[in-house]
Amino acid sequence: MSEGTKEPDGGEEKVVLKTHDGQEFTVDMATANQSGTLKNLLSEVGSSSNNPQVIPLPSSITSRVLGKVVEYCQRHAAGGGRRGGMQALEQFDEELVELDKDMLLDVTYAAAFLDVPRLLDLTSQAVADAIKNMSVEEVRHYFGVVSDFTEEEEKVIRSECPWAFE
Amino acid sequence: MQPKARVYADPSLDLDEFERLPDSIVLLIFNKVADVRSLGRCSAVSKRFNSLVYLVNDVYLKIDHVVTIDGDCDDPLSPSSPRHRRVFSNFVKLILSTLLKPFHNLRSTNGGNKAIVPQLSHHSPAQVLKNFAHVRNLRIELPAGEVATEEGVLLKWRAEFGSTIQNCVIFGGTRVDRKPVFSEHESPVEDSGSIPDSFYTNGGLKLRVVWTINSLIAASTRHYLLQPIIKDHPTLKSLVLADADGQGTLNMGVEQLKEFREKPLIASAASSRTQVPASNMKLKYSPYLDLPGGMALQGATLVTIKPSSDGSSGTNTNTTESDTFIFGAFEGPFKAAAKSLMKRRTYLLEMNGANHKPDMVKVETEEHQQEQHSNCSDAG
Repeated sequence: MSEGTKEPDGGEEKVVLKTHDGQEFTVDMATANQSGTLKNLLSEVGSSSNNPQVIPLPSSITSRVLGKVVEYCQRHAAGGGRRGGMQALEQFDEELVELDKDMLLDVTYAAAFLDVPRLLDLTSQAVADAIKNMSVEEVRHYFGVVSDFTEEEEKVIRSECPWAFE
Repeated sequence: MQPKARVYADPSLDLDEFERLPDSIVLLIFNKVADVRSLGRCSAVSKRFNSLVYLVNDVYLKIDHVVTIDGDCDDPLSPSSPRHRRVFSNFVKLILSTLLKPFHNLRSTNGGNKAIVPQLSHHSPAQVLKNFAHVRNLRIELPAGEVATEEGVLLKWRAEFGSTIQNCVIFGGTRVDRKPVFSEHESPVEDSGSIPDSFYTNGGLKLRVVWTINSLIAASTRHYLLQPIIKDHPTLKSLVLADADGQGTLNMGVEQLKEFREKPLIASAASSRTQVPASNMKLKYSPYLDLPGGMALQGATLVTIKPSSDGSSGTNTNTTESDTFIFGAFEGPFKAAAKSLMKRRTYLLEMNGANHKPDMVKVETEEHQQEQHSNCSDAG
């Protein structure tokens, strides 16, 4: 289960991202710098190829989720200059967010935590598109939210925006 | 690169499954939802969602139907009715006395003094927006464009309003066709950029006047509707009132909203639209125009309107500003079409009420124009 792990090659600066479930992702600086959080962190502590900085991540970012984020960052670190240009990159973005609900929410969280603005934009737009036109119950189910309204309270809340239910 | 969204989650909080997304992310998602109905439903999900929904900056309101209310007890067809004189500004009144035919047309398609009341499930936009106290960017979409046109006719308008109209551009054509094969390599119309004489006699001019008046009435009626919303929402930074047909779009930006608040126009109580001041109207025409994508437009027309009191018509800054507006007004093939029409000869659409003869509505060559076709003979 280490397909996401890459061996450091050459003298390039590397950084290791370690998930809570013990997986390590070795990425180059250009990839890491796609993340505002990592960029800030690394500008303070630095990293090298011989002694790469290991950054532990919270348990909410599983190796599967981090794999997606790293995939995004690697692709965008290469930018539109890569074969296929901007068009291929846009298509890559589109396909990247075709995820099941739980994965999409987890990647959204990870994109926010790691501060990858464009990825956060993509995933939160995908979530927004998914919940548009959903009923209240469907939105609850989607986010795994249990209503904390009393029956009376919910009645009042709904009467505040009758146009949403007609 | 300064990231625009910076959201740190505290790892120690992880992770109650129910609350796995922090407030800032949920709010970001709500801003992307924008649709007011969907947001209303989200507000009933939980207490946390309820408190977040009403913090959104971006709101999109899709009107499902428009009710017309006849607010006039005077004879609506009598141009001499005193209410009429109040309702119609200078500009429209002049047309009224010069061109009766388009005026009747205007009344039948637009309901004259009738107020239009857009609704979302029987609630006014102002009611629906009441609790959205942080809205900055608001887009409202009517179910259809107001100006009725014959089949095949293309008509689009874009207007910028502050206290009243600041800029308006109308783009139209009598027919959109798939480009005939023979015209691929040769332009079927070789002309000097001038309007052919037949334009004045075959109803072509009259039709353009009708388009212009109806578009202006639609725009000023829409602007009037926005008044209570702008008053209720001091947080607004941008306001768009469009329609599902893509016919008309009214825009108000930061500066325009500021002007509206600082210099409110005193509107007559009987009026159901914002008064449009006397304006300069420039018309460009091409009997035939290729559109990108293998389409062709017949009777292509571009009318640009600016209040005549709005500085001199000749200064460069003004022209540049208007050009920017015109070029930015349309999208896709229409942008290119408007651009190519802009290169054609400019005519001033004169609406002069001094003489009551219909032929007073005349298209005249603009005297001080700096057009590339300035060698053309005078059309007026």
